[in-house]
Amino acid sequence: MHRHYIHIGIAGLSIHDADELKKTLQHITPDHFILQWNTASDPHLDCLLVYEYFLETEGIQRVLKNQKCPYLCISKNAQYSNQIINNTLALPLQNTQILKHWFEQNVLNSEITSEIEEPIFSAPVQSQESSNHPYTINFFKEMLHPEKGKLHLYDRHGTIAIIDSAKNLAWLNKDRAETGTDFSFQYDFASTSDLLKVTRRETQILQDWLWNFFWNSPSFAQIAPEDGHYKIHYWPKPAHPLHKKRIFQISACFIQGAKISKIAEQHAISLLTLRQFIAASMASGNIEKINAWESRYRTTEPVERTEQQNFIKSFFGKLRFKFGF
Amino acid sequence: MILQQYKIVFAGSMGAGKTAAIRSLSDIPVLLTEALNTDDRSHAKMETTVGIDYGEITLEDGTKIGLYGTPGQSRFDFIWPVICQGALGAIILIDHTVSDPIQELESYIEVFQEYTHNIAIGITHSDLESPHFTQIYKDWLIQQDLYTPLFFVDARQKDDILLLLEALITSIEVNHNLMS
Repeated sequence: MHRHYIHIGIAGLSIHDADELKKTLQHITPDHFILQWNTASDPHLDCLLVYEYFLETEGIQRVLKNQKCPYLCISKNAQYSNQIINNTLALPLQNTQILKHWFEQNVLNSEITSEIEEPIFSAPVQSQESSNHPYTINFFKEMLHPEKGKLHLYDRHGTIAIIDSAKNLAWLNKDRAETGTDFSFQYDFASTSDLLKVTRRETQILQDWLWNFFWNSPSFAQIAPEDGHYKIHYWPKPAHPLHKKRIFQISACFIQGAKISKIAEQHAISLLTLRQFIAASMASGNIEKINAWESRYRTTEPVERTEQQNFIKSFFGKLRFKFGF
Repeated sequence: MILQQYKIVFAGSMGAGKTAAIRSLSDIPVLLTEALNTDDRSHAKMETTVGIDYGEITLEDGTKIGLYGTPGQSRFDFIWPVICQGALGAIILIDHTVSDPIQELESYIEVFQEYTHNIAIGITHSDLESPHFTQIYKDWLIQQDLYTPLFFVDARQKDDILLLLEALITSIEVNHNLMS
């Protein structure tokens, strides 16, 4: 059975109380879950246990706002021992049932249902027409051939941009409202009149702009294969801060050559998001299909982390927290 | 020179944007510090000190990370082991307008790979007039088969420097199986 890791942050508790809670939670949690103990600043918490006096502090409120994970306040009010009132558990704990129930309801259940992330984009509608598209790796390779000169990119909404692959530059149609495209996308040699439709005062770096343009074109996810080994040539530079973390995570895998399904499994990323990434990389000439043995990304079954690994993870967690990554 | 246990090194030639990059991350005003050349045999005839930019990040638990901006030319190589020892990673900034940016990039990579494999590259001044097209970096990356993130950045823009830092961190986390 696949084992699930539950990352629990602890804040403001004494060593004794923290140990008591750790032991209790270990005891009441089914074996196929592995509990990992972290500080509140860890960026990937599934649950936070916080001493009641610290709940309203700025740091904890920021953690709860950013992480949106369930939390349980811990108090030392013996009068209410063994009860959870207003999301506050009072120690000492003699009867573990109430904590077990809370933990199952708020953490374990949501862990199972949210194991795979929601795709960043909604699934494109597949049609007979769309399955006969011309958008293969070769289509884009030809489009980006350096000897093509200046090309006019357009679709049913009109001009998108003029590109010059040899110079790695793009001039955009600033009047265009759409940030992406669909299966009406086409290109042709740019005419003098096409050049008038773009703003040449502002030059974009073609490889960055094109990748982001197709990342924002959900219809194109279906041009990517459902699985296979691929390698990107360079890390795309995400234009949208919201997707940055995911894009970097995927890039760090595919830069080494990796299998789509393995990344999905290892990092709990939806296949649709991965296919969107592959499609954007195909369209920007940033990917090649490789053989399985050329893949250097090693997928490893999570093992118990060493103390040093936990320290490094926590350290980077704090750094991420500091800069809001 | 202040030597912190945790360090991020910024390397690159003069004008590439090291000071601006450090300034955009640092919690303190960037200091110009000096390091003494103690390697008399290799560098007997050169100046005995070298200017190093220094900035600092303080994490919520009080841990400090030193940000060091070092000149990368080989005549300053005596300082690299001191600064790079135990560095979390290096951010190399290359000025796109120099006469041979690829040669410069290669020499920095060669040097700093000896100290750390955690490297991110920023190409600066790509918006300025240059005899080179930006395509050269993509071609170079394909030839090199490097896993290193390389972005075109404006070193004065905090978001661009943060992008390099985040890519660097993600790369380390993925490669060391530290992601959730």
